[in-house]
Amino acid sequence: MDKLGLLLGAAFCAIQAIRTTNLLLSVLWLASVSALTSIVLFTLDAPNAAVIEISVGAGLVAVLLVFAISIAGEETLHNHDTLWKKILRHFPLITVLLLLLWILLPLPETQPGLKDTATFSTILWEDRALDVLLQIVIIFSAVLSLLGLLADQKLPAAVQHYAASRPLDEATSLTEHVAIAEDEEPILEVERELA
Amino acid sequence: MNDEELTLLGVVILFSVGVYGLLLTHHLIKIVIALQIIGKAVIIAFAVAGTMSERVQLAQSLIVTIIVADTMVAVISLALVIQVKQRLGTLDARELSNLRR
Repeated sequence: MDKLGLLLGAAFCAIQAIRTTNLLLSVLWLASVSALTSIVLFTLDAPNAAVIEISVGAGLVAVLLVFAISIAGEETLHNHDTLWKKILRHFPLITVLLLLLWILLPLPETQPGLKDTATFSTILWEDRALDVLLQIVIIFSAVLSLLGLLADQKLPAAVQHYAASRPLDEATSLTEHVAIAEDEEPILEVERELA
Repeated sequence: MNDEELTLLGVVILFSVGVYGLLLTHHLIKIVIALQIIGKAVIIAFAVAGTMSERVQLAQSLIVTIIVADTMVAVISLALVIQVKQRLGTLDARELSNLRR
């Protein structure tokens, strides 16, 4: 019963995280969901998973989200829905809830004779060694793709020359700069030859 | 209803809230947040399954894998969100879908 209370609290925090318009508050609500999740995991006799969940979920992911918000900026989206659309917005929640309850409850009987025989570290590092290796590969590939995505774009020399001579204004996009610079490329070559 | 079924009821509610957010929000960062909520519901479902089958240690090792995969999804998604914002100047998923028309 206490776990249900904790999970209902987590669901409330999750609803707040989705509904609030302030993105930083939304991240804080998500960190609360993570904290409550880790408490539930602890009460379910899974302390190792609980520690990793709170350090990664409330720590790393929250920091990443704040970093992304600080770069991308807080952009608030406005909905101009009609009354019918507002009512229909809650339809998926009720449908998914009822469908999952219909599928999952009552729970099937568990088969006897499948008890754990090893510790957490033995299972993770020996029985599931291949999975751990794959996790390391996933982490490395994610870091590499992150560096690739966040790296600064190197523009052609002609574009850089043009951008340095004429600073970007709001009306001129980067593609327009590239187009103009391509037109000016022969002129630049003549200038270089004269120099 | 026993204790496991009540916990699973809470998991279903949390999962539904995540799906609700995923279906209804148009903000790209909010979509990542909704994915995180769904991941947390799945983690607790694994822990309940481990408790029921008395294989908590195996469930814990699987949960670690889920947390790693979920975090990497968040990292890549947020990097893509930053790129979308810098190139297209919006965080609205509806405006991105308009590009196809």
